[in-house]
Amino acid sequence: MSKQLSRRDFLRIGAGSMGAAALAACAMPTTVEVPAAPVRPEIVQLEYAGVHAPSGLVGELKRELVVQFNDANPDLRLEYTWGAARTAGTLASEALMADIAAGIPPDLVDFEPASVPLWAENEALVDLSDRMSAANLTTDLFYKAVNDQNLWKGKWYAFLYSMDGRVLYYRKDLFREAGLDPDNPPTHIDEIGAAAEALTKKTGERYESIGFIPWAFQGRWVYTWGFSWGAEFMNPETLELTVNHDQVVALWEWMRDWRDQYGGINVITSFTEAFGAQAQDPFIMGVVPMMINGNWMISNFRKYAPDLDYGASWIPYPREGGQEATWTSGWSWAIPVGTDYLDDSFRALSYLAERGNIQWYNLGRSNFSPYIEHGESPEFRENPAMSFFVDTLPFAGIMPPTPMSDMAWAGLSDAFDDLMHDKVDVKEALDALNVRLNEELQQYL
Amino acid sequence: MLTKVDSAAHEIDWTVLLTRFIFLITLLTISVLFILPFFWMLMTSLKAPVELMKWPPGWFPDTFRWQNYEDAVTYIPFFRYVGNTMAITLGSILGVLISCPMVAYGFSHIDWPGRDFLFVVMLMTIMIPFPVTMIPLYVLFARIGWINTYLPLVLPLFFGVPFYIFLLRQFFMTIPGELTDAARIDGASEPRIYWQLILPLTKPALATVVLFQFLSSWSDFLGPLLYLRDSDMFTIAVGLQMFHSEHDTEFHLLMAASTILTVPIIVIFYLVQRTFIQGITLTGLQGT
Amino acid sequence: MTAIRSIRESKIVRRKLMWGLIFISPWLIGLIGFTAYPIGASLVYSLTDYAIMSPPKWVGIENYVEMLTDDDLFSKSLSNTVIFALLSVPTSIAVAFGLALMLNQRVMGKAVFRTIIFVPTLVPSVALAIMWLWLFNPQFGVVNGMLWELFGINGPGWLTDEDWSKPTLLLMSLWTVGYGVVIFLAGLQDIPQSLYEAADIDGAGVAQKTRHVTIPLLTPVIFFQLVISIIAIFQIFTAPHVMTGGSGQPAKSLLFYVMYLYRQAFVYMKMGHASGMAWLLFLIILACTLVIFRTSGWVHYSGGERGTTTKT
Repeated sequence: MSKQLSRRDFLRIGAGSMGAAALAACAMPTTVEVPAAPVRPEIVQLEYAGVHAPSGLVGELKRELVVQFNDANPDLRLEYTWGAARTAGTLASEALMADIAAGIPPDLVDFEPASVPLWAENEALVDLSDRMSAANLTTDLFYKAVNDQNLWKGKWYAFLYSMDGRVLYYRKDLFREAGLDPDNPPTHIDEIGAAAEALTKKTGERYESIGFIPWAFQGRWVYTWGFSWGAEFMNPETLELTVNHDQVVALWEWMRDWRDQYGGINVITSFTEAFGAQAQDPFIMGVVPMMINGNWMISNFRKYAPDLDYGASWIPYPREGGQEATWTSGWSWAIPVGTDYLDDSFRALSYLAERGNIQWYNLGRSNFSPYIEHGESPEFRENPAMSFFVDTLPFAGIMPPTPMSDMAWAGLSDAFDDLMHDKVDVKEALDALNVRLNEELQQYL
Repeated sequence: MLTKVDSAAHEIDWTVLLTRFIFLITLLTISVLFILPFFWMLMTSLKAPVELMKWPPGWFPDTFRWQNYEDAVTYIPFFRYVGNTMAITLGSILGVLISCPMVAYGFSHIDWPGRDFLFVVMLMTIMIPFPVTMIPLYVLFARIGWINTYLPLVLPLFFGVPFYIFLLRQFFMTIPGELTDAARIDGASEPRIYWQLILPLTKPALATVVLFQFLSSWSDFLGPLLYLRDSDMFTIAVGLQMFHSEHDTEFHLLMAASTILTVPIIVIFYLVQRTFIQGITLTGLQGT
Repeated sequence: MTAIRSIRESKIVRRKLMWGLIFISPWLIGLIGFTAYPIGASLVYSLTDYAIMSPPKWVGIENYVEMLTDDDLFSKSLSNTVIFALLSVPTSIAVAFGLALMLNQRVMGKAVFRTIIFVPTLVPSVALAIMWLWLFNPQFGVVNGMLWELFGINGPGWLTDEDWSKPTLLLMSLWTVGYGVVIFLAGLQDIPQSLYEAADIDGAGVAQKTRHVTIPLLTPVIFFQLVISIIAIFQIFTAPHVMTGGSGQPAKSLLFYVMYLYRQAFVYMKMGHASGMAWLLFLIILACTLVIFRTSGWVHYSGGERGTTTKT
């Protein structure tokens, strides 16, 4: 306890005789100041604050792109930094907010697509619309799921450069062992119910393995399942949110019944949390032989279990009202308000956004290009699982893009957890959440 | 020490022996539980990636993979980050050693009007959660040009840390006031009383402050991440985060790097704990 | 005569004031230079609608009204925090104190034990997390396994069970008890050997010596631990935030006050609301601290007249 405290103290306390002078200068509440455009130096220094650590595969790909950019643009000097723009994990994006509040933001940042509307409404992101059309980057080049996340109220605030996806993975070897057909994975929910039963092993009261846990891994997020179940999370015309859609209610009721069938929430949670967060993967270990997860698992399998015999298929859906679909997200580039050389920042963005660079980067890290034309390129088709993912992208839904997306995320996560602990009625909880979200949303419409 | 036991032991005190036995068993149990995370770290640092996912999980690696250690220190600029961290840590320790005992003396052995009020004010400053003061503090550092320097991580410590000041004040107040008063009557100045009387008597407490500040600077993650942008300037706590990527963690390398960092600290702690815990207080208790 | 005396006395008072201020001047400068502005700013923000990146808008006491009247999670997170403080403060102090006493006895391998107690504060937190999962997993964990083998008891769900999650978090936090142990050990070194010798002559045993010599003389350190623990526990954040990914699950049982405050500030971008929460928490912690200071007659300082520590 004292450790945390002393660290906080240490950040909070302190001074400098010059600090007293600074106090006077800072006494006004923080505002974003737009400084007069500085005289452009011969070589402009630009900072790209990325979400990926400079070590490791993805960081190295990014740094390589930056090197190429600098070679091609002698009057600019782009530097890849890490930390300031983290929008995932424990630090969220406070560092970026602090930079913008202090008027010293990076020139280009990695940005979580779902947060674009809220930040745009708070005038923290530069409207890129004119520059995008001048650079011939138009909506017809990209998947619908990409455009819907780049634009807010018809204006470009971000460029989504790397897409992910979610599918059902299953262990072919364990299918065979259980007498199931490894080339015919379950597509409907009754089928996955039967397959899960066949794959579950139990000694006395103790489960040794559970065939499938619907809300484990990426299945935890309602959007992953929602589109397959035919749920709609917002009305695209009125922007009204509908997180209480009938199919969401049906989905969660199905999950609650699943919980009861497999010994209650504590037993099931043991399986996903047992192995130390991500330190050990229950799917690779064969303890949970089917799972909903993302494309990044393909490279994890290659690293941790090169001989793993697995397949990928559509997320299961109900026979009534369901469809083949998935949820996609990814990473965007955006330019924060308050940078010194906006034109040069956009030059960096448009260079990185060139087709060849985007394809090279996404192939390198087993993600997907936002350009529709890349879906046809043979490189994305080499690995059968990757190829399957590319086929799912045209049918991918996205998190409803409104300034409420982060609040909805937290609210849905809370509501689902409450449901699993029998604190609430599904319908009532979702209705209440939906009312609250739409009330908050009104201020932005 | 031993002779003292022998002389006292000619009549065997069974209750004392039993108490010690219970203590020993308790300490042994706790030690096993407390050493396990370290042991897991050590064993994981020697495993190959495919071994991390074995079921059932094994404690020991199939083959000891020493290569991990070499990989770990090249995956990130390990030694550069350790060097940066050492510089910050030494500066921070110097800062708290200069400021905190001094302020604590002003809050304990000198009786001046408003002292206790200001002391409570000092405690009040650590009752506001950091998330709400973070942005204005950052803006303040930005205006004086401290972002992307080590100044926000080191200089504030030269102005005292309430946690340590409070701790030291408590220790100073166990020194009888008669002692300082007598020194004053003898004509000793306040700085002299502080330097020659108080400080030598509270070395265990000072050592505790050094230890805590060492650990705090060494493991601080939030501070460097907020204030540093140039990756050449990062500290090792930030560097260790680089073993985590978006959907995967290089656990074997992370644990190898952590082992290299932890083992020397444990050895040093073991070597110095006797001197600093038992301190200089010659009247201090060796055992009951 | 009296005039001269009072002049001399006021001179002494002024000298003491001067030296007092000189000695605390580093902190005073720091307060004015660094600490005052962020704290003051947060108080101003609490009266505004402030989304961090755009200028704040004045709303008066609306944030306070809203959190007290129309915010279920506010009361939930506050009650979680109070319950956890009541569980955690006495337990962690008692455990640290007990361990320090044991490690101060003549026990075989004392130096090794002292080092081991401190080791968990040095290893990366992920190693600790693995350890806890290994112990406390409801299905596969060692603890429940032993409960079943030895007593035939079906162990609880620990961290996944809303009724057990707080005690489990407390158990986990005991792995870093080393900090408290070190402080107590340092305090134990200040107790003069002569007092124990006197007690020996009176024929006191270990228990009596602990009760009549050790504990009274350690009260300044216990007092410190008490105040600091309360200040820290009310602001508990990092461990549950990282462990639950900020969600405070299961069933919001680990959603503590500052976690919810953080969510308001940086997820919902309602810094005004978060600042209001911070100042309310400040008042609560301050009230607790003042109560402890006012009732600190049990704290034994060698300075005699310093027995009551504050006149504020």
